[in-house]
Parts: sequence; structure tokens; C-alpha cells
Amino acid sequence: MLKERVKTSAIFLLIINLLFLTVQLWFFNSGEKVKESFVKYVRQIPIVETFFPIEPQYSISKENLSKPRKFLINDGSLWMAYYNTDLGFSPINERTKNLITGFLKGEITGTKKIDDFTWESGLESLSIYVEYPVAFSPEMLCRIMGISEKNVPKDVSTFREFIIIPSSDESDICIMARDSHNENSIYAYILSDKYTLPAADLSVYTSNSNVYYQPAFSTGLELDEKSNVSLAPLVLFSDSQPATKVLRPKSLMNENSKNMLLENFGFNPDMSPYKDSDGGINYIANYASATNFPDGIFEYNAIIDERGILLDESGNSYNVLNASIDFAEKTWGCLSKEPLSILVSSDLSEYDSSKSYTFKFDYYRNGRPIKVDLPAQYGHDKMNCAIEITVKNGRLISYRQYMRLYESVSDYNLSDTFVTALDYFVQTLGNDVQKPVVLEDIYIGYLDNGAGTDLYATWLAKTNSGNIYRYSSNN
Amino acid sequence: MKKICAFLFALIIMMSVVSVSAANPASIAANDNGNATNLIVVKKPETKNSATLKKTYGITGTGKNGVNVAYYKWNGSAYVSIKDPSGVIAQTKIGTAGVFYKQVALNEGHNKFAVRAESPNGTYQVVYFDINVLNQSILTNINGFSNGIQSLYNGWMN
Repeated sequence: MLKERVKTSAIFLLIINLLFLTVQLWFFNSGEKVKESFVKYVRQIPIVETFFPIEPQYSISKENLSKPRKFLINDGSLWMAYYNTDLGFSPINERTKNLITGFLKGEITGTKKIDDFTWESGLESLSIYVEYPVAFSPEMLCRIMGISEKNVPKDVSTFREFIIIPSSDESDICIMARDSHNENSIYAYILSDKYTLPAADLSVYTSNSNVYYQPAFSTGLELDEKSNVSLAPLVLFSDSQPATKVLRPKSLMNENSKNMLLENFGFNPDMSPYKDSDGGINYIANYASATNFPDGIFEYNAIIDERGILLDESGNSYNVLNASIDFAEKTWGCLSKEPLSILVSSDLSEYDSSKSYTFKFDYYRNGRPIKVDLPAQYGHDKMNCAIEITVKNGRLISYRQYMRLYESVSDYNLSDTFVTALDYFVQTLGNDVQKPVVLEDIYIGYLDNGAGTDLYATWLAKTNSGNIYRYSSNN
Repeated sequence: MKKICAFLFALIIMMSVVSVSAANPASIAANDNGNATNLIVVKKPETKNSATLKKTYGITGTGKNGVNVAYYKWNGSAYVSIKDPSGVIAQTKIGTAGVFYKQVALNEGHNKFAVRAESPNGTYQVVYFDINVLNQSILTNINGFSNGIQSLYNGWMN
């Protein structure tokens, strides 16, 4: 009797499950969920997920979201900068992360709006300047740091730069925050006395590096007014010509990886593509199209937004961002066994106000960014990042990626100094541009323009218009 | 004809090498002020005698495009050129940006430097300055400066 009941129950559950999956397949999507393994699908059901939580996987890309791009430490005797690729970056990152997290938790005892002069005085004082790669909304930065956004101070609408003034016998730590979307909006906060950063600790961090940097504002230098080019105060001067690697771009597309890639985007890999006159290979399904361009760009577009690939249903940009990174890593996994090393390059300043988000990412290798700069071709627009993902209402509606793996092939010492590169940028931009240009940053990185040749690290300049220029010694 | 071309080419190469090495000498006398005053302006340090706590210092300045700038440190008897890691006299040619920048290591106490600028037509200018590195005990006074910043927000407690 009991055996019969068990059998009946099992058959009943299987029929219910069959009906449920059939309804899913026919009415709600094109079947991408059903195509996943049954176990995985069941584990995604919220109640089941409660009992069998999916183990978070280590992701370099997500880990990097919470890392600042650079620190500039003034210990009283010298300035020292650490980029997120430098040795010695981690200890100071751990220390400052704790302080910034405390600030984001709202553990502050005083607030005051300050002016530009006070901000610069902070830099001249014993301090740590913290710069993130992009601007974050307060809520987004909280989530990235893994804390609740409930008590985050909202005087500043977007965070990218902080100055931390250490504590002393008389005062607690002061954190200055500048609104990256409104330069006049600068606030100083006194952190709760449970946080400490003695001034003497700063010299511990500066002693870890033998590369010396000096911010432009402290050099007393002003570029010739006739040149039409000026320097942002925090451009870092340096004498260093560090050792770097030569990178060789490698195409990742082969028959096997192409099939996996198509499946990842919900296409039948056996479908017949058509080749356009410029060499692009096009795949068209009911609700989406994908093109593999000869210059290495793979592009997916949902024809109907509502039929795009479902990434996240929560509606907040942090979850959408995480789901997008997961999807990018999954896509990368179709092509390469190496981990995907990307760094977000577009501001994350929207949180809940819109349900359409575009995220941009750059590749980086051996700790240095690789800026992609591919011209528009027949069928696709100009590409100035490695990956561009657009998500609307939690669904992927557009995905573009420059499919390249960069192999380190040899060592290479930078042959030109910062000042040589500065001369080049002033000459190039002073001639080309009618309106004044501000060099917001000059740093070492790679630029891939799709030529397919080996990439040498060089000086790159970012201007106030967001354009990236590459130093060339052939000028 | 080929021999003449080769000879001229070799001559040009030799001349260029000589001109680079002759642009700035290996050492200069303490009383050599040069024969020009308008080739460069040293921006940092701002004065002939200055004090700092920094152990590494960035000498900066502006100047005319094409001027060669070399850096010298006093060794007790003469100003001797500072060499780059490869052992060559550290000198830079001012470019379009019109600036020069050189990091130098400082010892505690007085550090006497000279910056020599030479134009393509042979005129040259020498600028001397002394950077006094203060004792580390003075660092406590720096804390005073930091406290000055902190005093900006003293009393804000909500």
C-alpha cells in the first residue's frame, strides 16, 4: 500500500513538473531555462535556493570592483602613489577599505561642506587620497563593499575620490568626499572614534615602494597657455620607466568555441549563418541576432527587448551588474580556460532610477589596462572598450565583446619618461583640438587598435572629454 | 662618391655624439653662472635656500623648447653631474610642454644643487640652490600642520 502511494506521488510530481516546464517553454521564454540542466534549474527556485545556497564563486572581475584605482599617500616627507597593480597596494587597500566602509555605514560624528581650497589643503597635509576607477552612486558603492546602503551619507551624489586625514590625539579621522558629477560639492566627515589611523602609520605604507610620484599641483608647473593644453592637479609626475610585458593578441574563435558561444546566447549552433560582403558572419534566430565580425568583435542583439536573455529580475543595478559580469565570464569560458580579467570602465552612478543599464569593461593584463580602440566597421559602431553589455528590465538586449586573449611574450622596459610623453601629448592635442584640453590622467597601459601586432605598454593620456591618447615615440 | 657619402655620414654621427656630450659638462665650477639668464626658470624649489622633510625631491622648472637641462650636485669641491642608472649624465631636452622634471635623492642636512641649461646656439645658464632636509624630529611639527587641517572641522560635531 505504501509502495503504491510512493509510486503515485512520484508520478504525480513528474506530471506536474512536466506541465510546469512545458508552460515555461511555450509561453514565457524561448527555452533557455529548460535547456539548463534540470538540477541547476531546480536549485534556482527561491525556496530550494534557501536550503541549498549556491556557493559564491571567486571572480577576479567582481573582486576588482571594490578596489580603488590608486592611492596617493603624503606621509609628510614624501608623496607615494600606488596603482592597483603595484606591490604594496593590498595592505593599504585593506586599511582604507575599513575606513571607507565605516563612512558608508554612516558611522560619522560630524559633517561639513568644504571648498576646493580645503580639499587641496587635505592633499598637502598628511593624508591618503583614494581614487576609484569610476564614479559610484552611494548605494552602489555600499553594495560593492558588501554593506547595507541604509545609513550612507547622501550629501554627495557620486563617489570616486576620497581624502583620508589620519587621526591624532586631538582629532578623529576626517574623510573628505568629492562629488565626481559636481566638482563644487565637497564634504568632510568626521569618522567615529572607533576608527583610528595614526599619522605615523602613513610612513609604513610609503616605505613599501621605491617609485616616487609627485602630483602636478605640487610641482609648480603650468603648461604654456598658448598650447591650449593644461594638466589636472592630480596627474602624477614620475621618473620611473618600469619593466613591462609585451603582449600578443590572440584570436579566440574556432569551430568548437563558436558553437559554445552560440549556445550561450541561445542560438542553435547547427543553424546556417550567412556571410555578408564585408566578412561578418550573421546568425538570426526568432528574437535575436548575433554577428561575428572579422575584426574580432562578437555582437549579440535582442530583436525584441522582452525576449532578451534573462539575467536578473530584481531591478537594482548592483544585481544587474553582478549578473552581467557572471554572463561575461560565462561567455569568456566558452572561448578560453584563462580567468577573465576585466575592470569596469563606465560610471556606475545609477542605482534605481532607471531599469536600463549599459556597463563597459576593459581588459587588463599583468596589472595594466588594455584600452580597446576599434573604428566603426560595416555593421558595428566604434568600440572603445573590451566588453559592452546593455541590460533592460533585467534582460540582456545587447552584448559586444572584442574577443581577444593577450599572451605575455617578452619583457620590455619603458623607453620614454613621463615628461617626454607629456611633450608628445601637448604637441598632438595642442595642434589638433580647437578648444582647451585638460589632461586628466597620464598612466602606463596598452592600446589595442585591432592591428593584430604585439602590444607594447606605453604612456596613455585621458582627457577631460574621456578620450584616450597613446604616446608614440615615432612623432 | 660612396666613400664621400660614408665619410660625411660618419662625420655627422661623430658631430652629433660630440654635441650631445658637449651640451653639458660632467662638472661645473661653483662660480660659473653662465652667459644667459632667460633659458629656464626653476619652479621647485621656489627659493635659493629652502627646507623640506622630503627624502626624494622633484626639481621642476619651465624653459624654452630645445634647451638641454642637466643636473649637478655639490660633492664638497665641485658640482658633479647626476647620472642616470646607466651611468650617463642625466640631461633632458625641453620639449613642447616647456617643462623639465628630475627626481633627486636628498641626504639629511644641506643638499646643494645646480641646474645647467644650454641652448642649441651654445648660450647657457646655471641656477644654484640649496635644499636643507630637516631632522625627522621636526616631523612632529608637520603633525601640527595636519592638526591645522583637522582644526578646520573641529567643532562641527552635530
